Amino acid sequence: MTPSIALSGVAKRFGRRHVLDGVDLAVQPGTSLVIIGGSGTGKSVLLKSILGLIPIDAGSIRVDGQEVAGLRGAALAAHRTRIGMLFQGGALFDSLSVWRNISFALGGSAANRRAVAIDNLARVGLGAEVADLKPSELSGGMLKRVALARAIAARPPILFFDEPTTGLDPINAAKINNLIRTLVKDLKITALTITHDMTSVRVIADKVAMLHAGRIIWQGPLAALDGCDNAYVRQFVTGSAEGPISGLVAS
Amino acid sequence: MTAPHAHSAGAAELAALLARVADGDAQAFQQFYDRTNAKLFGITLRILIERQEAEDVLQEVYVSVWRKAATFDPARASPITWVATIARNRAIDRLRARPARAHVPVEAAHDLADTGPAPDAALVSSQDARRLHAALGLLEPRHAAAIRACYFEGVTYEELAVREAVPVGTLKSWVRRGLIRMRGQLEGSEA
Repeated sequence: MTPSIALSGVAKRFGRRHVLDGVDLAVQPGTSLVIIGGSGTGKSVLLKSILGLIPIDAGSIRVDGQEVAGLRGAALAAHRTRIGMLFQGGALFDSLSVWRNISFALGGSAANRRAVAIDNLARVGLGAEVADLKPSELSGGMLKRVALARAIAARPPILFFDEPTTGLDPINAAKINNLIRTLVKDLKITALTITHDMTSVRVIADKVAMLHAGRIIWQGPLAALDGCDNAYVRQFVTGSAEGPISGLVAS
Repeated sequence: MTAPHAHSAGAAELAALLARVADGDAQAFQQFYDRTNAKLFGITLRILIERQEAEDVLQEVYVSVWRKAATFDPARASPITWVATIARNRAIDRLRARPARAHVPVEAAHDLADTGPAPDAALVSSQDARRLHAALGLLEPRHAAAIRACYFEGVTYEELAVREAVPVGTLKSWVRRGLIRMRGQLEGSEA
């Protein structure tokens, strides 16, 4: 089966710093891969490269078999619409109502788009009464849900989650993790998540890959994570200050 | 009853019913339906949200059960897992076959004919993407750039203001004015 996302030898340098140094990775359709790694290990750069927001120096990125490097204009726009994105900050427009945010990229009449927005609100556990509110009137947990509703509204075959629980209290974080798992399963979406939150990993992941110093140093099914004997992975999973990763701050 | 083996006993009974269904036993099929329809309806409703559609799909699921009961293999899955998988797959097929628009009266949807699975959902969104990019292309470039950065890159207003070397308030007003203009274009042409 053609992987939804296939990276081979992906390299990216900023100045002298090799942020990505030969990344090989494949995500099969309908599966959820979580990439773990500390801050500054290139997780965000990796996501942005796959989205086509950052040009890579070397290697290949294929999404549903199509090479991303070199895409421009309409082809790049079409590529991006295949990937729904839940950003860390939510990235909602504060001057637009909730329903207009959710249906921002959709066509159709205002009445239809509003109905679609309400349908997607229901999917993330929010009622129609939220539709006409402004983002500033919502709590952090609700904002994440609205951003999630927007990410799935166009029914993209692939979803990216960038640190989905950042800024949430543990209860809301657990709700978002469960929601992501349910949506990915129900909508048969290929999901790629980057996080340093081990709770998210355990709920969201089918497979886990650890990025360190610009390379994937370990990958395997979620079940293999705890038995993994890679010292870097063990240190990350346990959040220990002691280990090969320097400067890792347990969060 | 909450006996420790209630689940497996239930599974064994359902498997026995399926075996009879495979032989064309309508009474066994009725019993199987009575014992599983609430759960399966829950699955299709959760995926499809709309009650009518969830009920339609539920009916298709039982048609499948009736036809395919002989293919059920108790060694591979429990009966409830087997039918739940059928229900989930059917509901997802239905979901994928409908355009990214909900609650639209059929008579209002001129281009609803395509009933293929996943690909046409992407087709709809790429049409929408073209429309969106066309609308952005008509804006003042820095307004469009701000909206793109926010929507496609998740850049915050604060980061964007620093990048553009303008006060946050200015940046917000670029975004707001750009969005108002887009709405005027997109909804003004609806008629």
